[in-house]
Amino acid sequence: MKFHVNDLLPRAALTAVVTMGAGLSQSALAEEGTGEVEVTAGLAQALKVECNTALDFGTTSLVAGDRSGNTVITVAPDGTTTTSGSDVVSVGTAQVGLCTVTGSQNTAGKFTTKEFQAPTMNADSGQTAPDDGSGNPTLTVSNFESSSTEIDSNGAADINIGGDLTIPDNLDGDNYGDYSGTVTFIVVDPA
Amino acid sequence: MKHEPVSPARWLGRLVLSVFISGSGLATAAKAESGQGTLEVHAGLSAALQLSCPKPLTFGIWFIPSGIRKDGSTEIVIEPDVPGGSPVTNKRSGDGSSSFPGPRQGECTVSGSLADDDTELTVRFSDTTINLQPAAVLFQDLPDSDGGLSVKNFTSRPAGSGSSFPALNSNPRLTDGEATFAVGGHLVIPSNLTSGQLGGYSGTVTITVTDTL
Repeated sequence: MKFHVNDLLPRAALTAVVTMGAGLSQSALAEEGTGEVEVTAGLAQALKVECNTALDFGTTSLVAGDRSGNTVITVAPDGTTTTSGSDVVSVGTAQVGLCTVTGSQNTAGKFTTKEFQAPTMNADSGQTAPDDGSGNPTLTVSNFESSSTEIDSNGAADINIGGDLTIPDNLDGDNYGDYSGTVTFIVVDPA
Repeated sequence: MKHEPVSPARWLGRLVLSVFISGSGLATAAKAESGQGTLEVHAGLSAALQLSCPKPLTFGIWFIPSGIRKDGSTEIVIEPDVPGGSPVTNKRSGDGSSSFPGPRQGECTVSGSLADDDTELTVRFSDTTINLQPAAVLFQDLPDSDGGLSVKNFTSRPAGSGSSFPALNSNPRLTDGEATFAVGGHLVIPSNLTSGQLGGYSGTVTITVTDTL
């Protein structure tokens, strides 16, 4: 067997080149790449409802005992106060409730309002609420009514709130005094 | 511009990116829908007194000459007694004589107070002077025109308590949530009446009674 050095070197060199080429090809698959991925998020401001002025029916002056029925004090959203029922001697100075709504993304249209729950009017300590005959304390507020709910250019609105106060018949001396309660008010954006 | 072929890995990356952006687009679209606040509601009840005045203050019928009276206007004073009593009536000035029916004091009853016994009530008249209007009262016909009669200087006297006689305009005191008082005043008849102004007259004064509960 003849061994020729001159033949050997080119084969080795060729092999090496082929191997290096294959090596370059493999490293290309593991190459790092850079790019930009856009990341976005949205935050929508929830409607904020602040009611800093209470709906106040004032102090109603009524006689004790039989009045031949309930008395209803109505405070309209424009502040007008009317009475129906019997034997109201005098009605105090009433005040509409005021809630301010902010944070709407709308700049026109109207909010929809609705009360969530009619309040139970609790008597101050030292007095008892009148009884409706069923053992239930019954100074009730109902028929809530709001003024215009037009949304302004800032996505806000001031809403006046009125309602009906019903005072039951047959008050006794322990029923006189102050009462208070709360009502949750819900405001809905137009679609 | 030369477009290079996109490897499967880059396609996958683009697909993931598009899904991510699509998802974040939904978050951006969310708008405020509703909000709620708590509204306070206040009310107050105060006890009211009931005041009824079933007996009117009446000066009765007086004979007055028509035309100009040289002694000027006629002033008649009813000073009330205690409720149920007999008032003192005086013609302070001018012409005129009383006829049937005669003068009577007014009487009022307060009830419904929650204040303790012996609590004093204040009595206040809404006007110091009221003008009477033509009316068919005391068997008298309606005058043809207004004669300009007026009543002023209203007074009151409460029911007695104990042995002392209550002073004029002293405050009534409660017993079991009630009190009574009598009412008097001065009637002024102008000095020049025509015959058409003779007849009946009537008016109303509002009385406010307050306790100190």
